Amino acid sequence: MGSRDEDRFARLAREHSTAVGNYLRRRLYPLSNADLDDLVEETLLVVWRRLDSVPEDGELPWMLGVARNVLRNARRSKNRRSAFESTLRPPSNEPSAEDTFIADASVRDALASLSDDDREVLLLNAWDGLDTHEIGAYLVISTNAAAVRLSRAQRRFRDLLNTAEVS
Amino acid sequence: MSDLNDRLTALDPAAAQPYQHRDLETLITRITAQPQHATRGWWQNLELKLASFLVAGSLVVAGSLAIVEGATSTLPALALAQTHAKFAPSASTTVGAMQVYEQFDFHASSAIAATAPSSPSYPLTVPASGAREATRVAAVFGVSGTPVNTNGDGSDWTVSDPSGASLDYENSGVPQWYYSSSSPAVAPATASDSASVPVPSDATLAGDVTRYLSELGFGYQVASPEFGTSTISETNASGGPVSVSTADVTYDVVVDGVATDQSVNFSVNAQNHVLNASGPALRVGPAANYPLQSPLAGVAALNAAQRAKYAATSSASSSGAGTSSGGSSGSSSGGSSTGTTTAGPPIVSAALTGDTISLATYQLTSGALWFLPVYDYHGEVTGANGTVSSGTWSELAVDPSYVHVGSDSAVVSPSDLKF
Repeated sequence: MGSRDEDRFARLAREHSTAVGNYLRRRLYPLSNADLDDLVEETLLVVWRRLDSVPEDGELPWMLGVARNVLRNARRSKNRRSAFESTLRPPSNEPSAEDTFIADASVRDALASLSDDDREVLLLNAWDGLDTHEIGAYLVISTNAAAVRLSRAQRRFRDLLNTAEVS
Repeated sequence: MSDLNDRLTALDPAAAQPYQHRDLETLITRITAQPQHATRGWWQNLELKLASFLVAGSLVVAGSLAIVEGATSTLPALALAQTHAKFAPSASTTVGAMQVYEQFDFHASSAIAATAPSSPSYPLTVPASGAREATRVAAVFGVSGTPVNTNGDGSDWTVSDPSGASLDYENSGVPQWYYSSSSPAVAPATASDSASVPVPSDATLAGDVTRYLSELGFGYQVASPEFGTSTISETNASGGPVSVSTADVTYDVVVDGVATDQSVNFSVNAQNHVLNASGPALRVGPAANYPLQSPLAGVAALNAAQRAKYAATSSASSSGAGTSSGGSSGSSSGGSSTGTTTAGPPIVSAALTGDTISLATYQLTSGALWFLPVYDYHGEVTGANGTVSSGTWSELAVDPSYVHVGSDSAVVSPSDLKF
């Protein structure tokens, strides 16, 4: 490593590539490790090219925002069903994510019933570990607004879960 | 919420398989060896400056008119902020996204013409209001609702209805619309490339597309359909499996018979209901006949771009690098990585055996959009182990004497990053 940019990029990659990979796995699975590596590389390549734009106080949310765009692009690419998704099926020796999912069907159903926005903010917190400040950075909204959205999402999720489990 | 958080966390797909890149240090080295401010191939930022007589008065390029030095006063002048060839090897199992750290040494076969053809460029107009257009397109698919500014910055609008159907409208670059008949499932779909029940015929699906495109009213033409079928397996609200067989088609958007980098996709179920559809929201303006460089000159430009791309890291030299030559078609051309580097990438020989013209989307720094002609070169790459792979590479076809290269533009927010 030589330049400050290279040093910073290397640090970002070492500190956050696992979080980026986990973020992608959570939102597009089943996913083979090789395909996941490709998406992480595409994300890091954008980070490298836009390094000057990465905010010092919000590096991970910014990188997850890039990953979101990479994911969106991958999902919407030409022939995405026939060409792309078919390549994303995991090798048979890898455990299926649905195997984990099915263990708590009530939670899964409650998640499925949430709006996209509620589900996104809820899982950014519960799965990706972002706090309200980081969620705000990711969604390009204020921390207060992120806190309100998270609180609402959690309440709706709780209500849905209670309804499902009572019935 | 702690109990619920615990239950959510227990479902985290990444918890069971935490991600770890297989060779992060090599990846870091590979990425940092690349130019830092490059843009993606298909999405070159450029500043396009035209002589005012060339284009319709409605075209919004105000303030960016200029005559490039070298162009005559009667010819249009183009000024690009930055131009990159598209290095997008395709149809290859060995030349893929993971192998970007290679410097190609392109050799042109005798099939690559030394004389310039003609192929028009086209200004594009896009809807002025994302919210209004999202609502209009949504209505075509039977979705009615209030458009929601998803990102809060006007770059993405979503119209959804209680049934779960939605229309997403990306309002940046070339706007794209995406219709989905239902909300995305939390549990992912798995797919197979065949239908488990009879699905509508190709002709029926083609008729659907024609009808919808007519109602959408963009006026662009489509061609070269690629039909297919698939079966999507999902989990319903009760946790049970649901399989949906679909007939799918992808069309190229074409202009005067020339393919573009835009496409239209439709999927319908067995009952011929549209499940998913997507395409660009654009209208094609009147043709502008910019002079082109020859395909052979384009190969030289490809080589020049490769040298520039790796100039900072490569000290390698190769006898073929830097010139386009009339090498033999499809041969191994020596066949392999011909150079070694102290810090740069391996040099790989690419024999270009033919070319076609297509139209690629470019955006001006003013925001205006154009289809500009590019040469798509087809060829073969011979790897160090002797494996031969096919690939395609693209180069802007507009004569460089009508092109002025300027500076890149900055992107400051992830929400602005569109690829």
